[in-house]
Amino acid sequence: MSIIKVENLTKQFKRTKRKKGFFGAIKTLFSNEYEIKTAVHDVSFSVEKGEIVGYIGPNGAGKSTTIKTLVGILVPTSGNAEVKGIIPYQSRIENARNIGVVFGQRTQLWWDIPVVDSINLMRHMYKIQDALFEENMKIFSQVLGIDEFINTPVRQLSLGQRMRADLCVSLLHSPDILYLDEPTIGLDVVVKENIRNFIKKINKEMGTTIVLTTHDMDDIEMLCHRLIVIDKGHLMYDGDMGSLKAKYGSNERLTIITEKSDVDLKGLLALGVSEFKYNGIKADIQYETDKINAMGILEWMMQRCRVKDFSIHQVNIEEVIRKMYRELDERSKMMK
Amino acid sequence: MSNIKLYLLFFKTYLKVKSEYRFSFFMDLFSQFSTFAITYLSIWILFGRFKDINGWNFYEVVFLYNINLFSYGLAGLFFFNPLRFLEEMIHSGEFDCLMHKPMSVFMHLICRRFNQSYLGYLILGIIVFRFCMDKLNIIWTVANVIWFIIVMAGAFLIQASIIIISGTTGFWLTRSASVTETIVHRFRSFITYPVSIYNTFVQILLTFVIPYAFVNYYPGIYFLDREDSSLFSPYFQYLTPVVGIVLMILAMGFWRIGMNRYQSTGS
Amino acid sequence: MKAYIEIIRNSFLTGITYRVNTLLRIFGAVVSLLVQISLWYVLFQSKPDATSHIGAIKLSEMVTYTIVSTLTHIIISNQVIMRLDNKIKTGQIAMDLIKPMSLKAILGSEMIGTTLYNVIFRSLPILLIGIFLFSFQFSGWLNLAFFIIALFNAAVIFFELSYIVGLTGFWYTTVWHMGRVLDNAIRVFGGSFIPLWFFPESLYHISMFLPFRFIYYTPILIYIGKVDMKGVIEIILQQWVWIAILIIIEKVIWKFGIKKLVIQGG
Repeated sequence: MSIIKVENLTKQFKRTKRKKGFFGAIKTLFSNEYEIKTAVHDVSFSVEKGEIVGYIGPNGAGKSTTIKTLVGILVPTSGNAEVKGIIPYQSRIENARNIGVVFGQRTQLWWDIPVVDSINLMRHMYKIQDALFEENMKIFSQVLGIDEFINTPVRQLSLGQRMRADLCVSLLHSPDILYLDEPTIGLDVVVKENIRNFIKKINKEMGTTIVLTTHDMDDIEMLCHRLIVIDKGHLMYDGDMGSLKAKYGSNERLTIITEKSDVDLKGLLALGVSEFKYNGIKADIQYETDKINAMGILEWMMQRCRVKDFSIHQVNIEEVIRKMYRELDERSKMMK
Repeated sequence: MSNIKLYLLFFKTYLKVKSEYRFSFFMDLFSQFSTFAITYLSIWILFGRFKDINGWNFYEVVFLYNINLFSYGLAGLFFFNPLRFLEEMIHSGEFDCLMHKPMSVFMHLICRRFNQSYLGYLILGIIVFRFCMDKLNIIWTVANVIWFIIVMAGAFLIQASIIIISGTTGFWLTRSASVTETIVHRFRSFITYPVSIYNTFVQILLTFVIPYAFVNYYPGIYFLDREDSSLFSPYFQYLTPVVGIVLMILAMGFWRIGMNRYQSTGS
Repeated sequence: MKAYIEIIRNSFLTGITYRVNTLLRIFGAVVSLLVQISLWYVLFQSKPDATSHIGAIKLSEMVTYTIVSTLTHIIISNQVIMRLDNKIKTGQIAMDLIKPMSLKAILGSEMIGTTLYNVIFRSLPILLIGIFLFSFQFSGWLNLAFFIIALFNAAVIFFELSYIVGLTGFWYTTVWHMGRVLDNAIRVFGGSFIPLWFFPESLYHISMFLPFRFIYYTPILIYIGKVDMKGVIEIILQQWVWIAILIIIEKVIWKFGIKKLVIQGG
């Protein structure tokens, strides 16, 4: 049974056409001219219970429109969304009981008072049973270290602490699904790491299904079992990380440090190298693994100059996605 | 029942916020206090030179103004801040946070933002009522007291509905705060004095379009037992509760339309 | 100089950007004009004139007083308190202090821009309504000329008062309260609604010791022609004295405030 089902979801926004100038503004008030912008176009996917799904795409791709639909904030133009058997935008409140939401840049905590008061309020709003509440609080104090700052007013918390508090508040009622919008934005490396570990733990221990949007590729690499990529409202990819890498990421990169020489690396291009940079000392070489491997390139180099050092870089997801976006871009340009 | 408990919890939490800024809390009260104190002062100065305003004496005018102030204070306490800042909350995304909670968005909004400075209106309102009761020729029979409470409830509904309607324009306008300020602060100043001093056009406006006249003028005619100098049916003096309920229904309908729009445009 | 002109231009254009706002504010001003004038009509209903500290007052004079007062309000209004409040709260004031212009000059230039906008887009409609609906009276070029001088001084006094109240933001976080109290004090003791000539003896005397009456009451007296030449000159001189006093107060507060700012580090 899928816990989230999205079928042919389309969301269009009607915007009044704005006219320039003073009289334009007056005309705008009375005009009926609209332009229609399709934010999400015929998107379908489903999420199984217990998955961590990365929902990614460039800015303005339609990510937050989709999330807002799943949360119950937006009503789709056509198509359906179902969360735990409930249509969120029809039964918003019922749906709200099953979900937790953290919008990274907006806190749902009360700004001026200690965290504990916000927690208390949520406890009553969600009508959480005492036993469950205490059990959850125990978990949160262990893994989130909530206790350290539970009596501190929110405005005095660091960004990392605030994110931990926000996570705590949105998980208090043990929701089946947690939506995270940019959960690690603006955090330093160590805190990011902590937050990721916590998300993983929650997923494992509470069995929470997690949908997250992010621009941070480390988030995706370390958290997500599965990726859904969306661009300009269209679903571009849905599958696991491995096949995405296989599809777009057959590239590897090799960095070679040589003694100063003037070897021309153009000869490598014929062997399966796709790109290179060489300044006489340091060479950056990209190649496709199904045509040539690192050894082949190194041998070729060693025949022509003295190699002092080298390193092989696995492609990371960021490059994969970047490449994917680039290909998509080129394809859409070609279509024009 | 549990809703009331939740509401009280919100209120407690809110007071906690305010106690973080204690000095500010009292300054809120003081600055509001000064505002209506000068209105009373102005009325007093006028009556030092002039005997009456269109046949209404000092205490009668104060009584009318006080009904306005008290009902507005009560409505403002709950509705002013939530609706006045709706537009801002929509822009900052805070409004979205209300929408993923298992609670009616409107209730949540109301719960989350009080405006305690309106408590000042209520305190002074009670003092002023007490002060002019003896000077007015109102016979406070049980029936009259009950009717007065019903009228106040109606006046509260009218004031609240107008705040809600003007704030709800925030779903459409980017700067709806100025709509609220214009209607609730400027337009309402019409009923500082008996509505009969205005020309017919304004009286129609205040009766049928933005029916502030039902807040204090029409019920005032009943309580002060005055000749109805207004243009309309004498039954209008009994209509305040009805107008309040109808207006509140309209306001809630308007809110629903606004929410639907928000859910289909997200902005 | 160029920089100041740019600031003036920008705040003028900012006003124009919010057209709906402009319309609403004109509407608001018309409402309060209507309330006040209706009230005076009713009060003068049964008698040709009313007694006052400066002799009999006619209804037509009262109507003119109300219209000029409304125009004055629109023309001299500024956002100095809110701007300063904001700057101190967000710490932006530290940035302003390192700019090669004085903060006061920046706020002053903003006010000039706003005033230009207010004169053109907000006071003209009110003036037209006054002329066509309420038979607003023109009381001669000489009166107008002196009124404009006094009005300019009034704007400076109001600016200084706002600036001083705004500076209390160094000590106290929510300045708008104080702004509200200032507005209320000016509303009564400035005579923006009820002219001081109708005040009871005691209040009339109190108001004589305050700077507020130089913002509304006395300039309007000049316009209506209720003072002779000697009186006009006295009023303008007194305005200057008050401006000097307020500038001294402001400098002192600024000195202490800056110390506080430096200690807190913004």
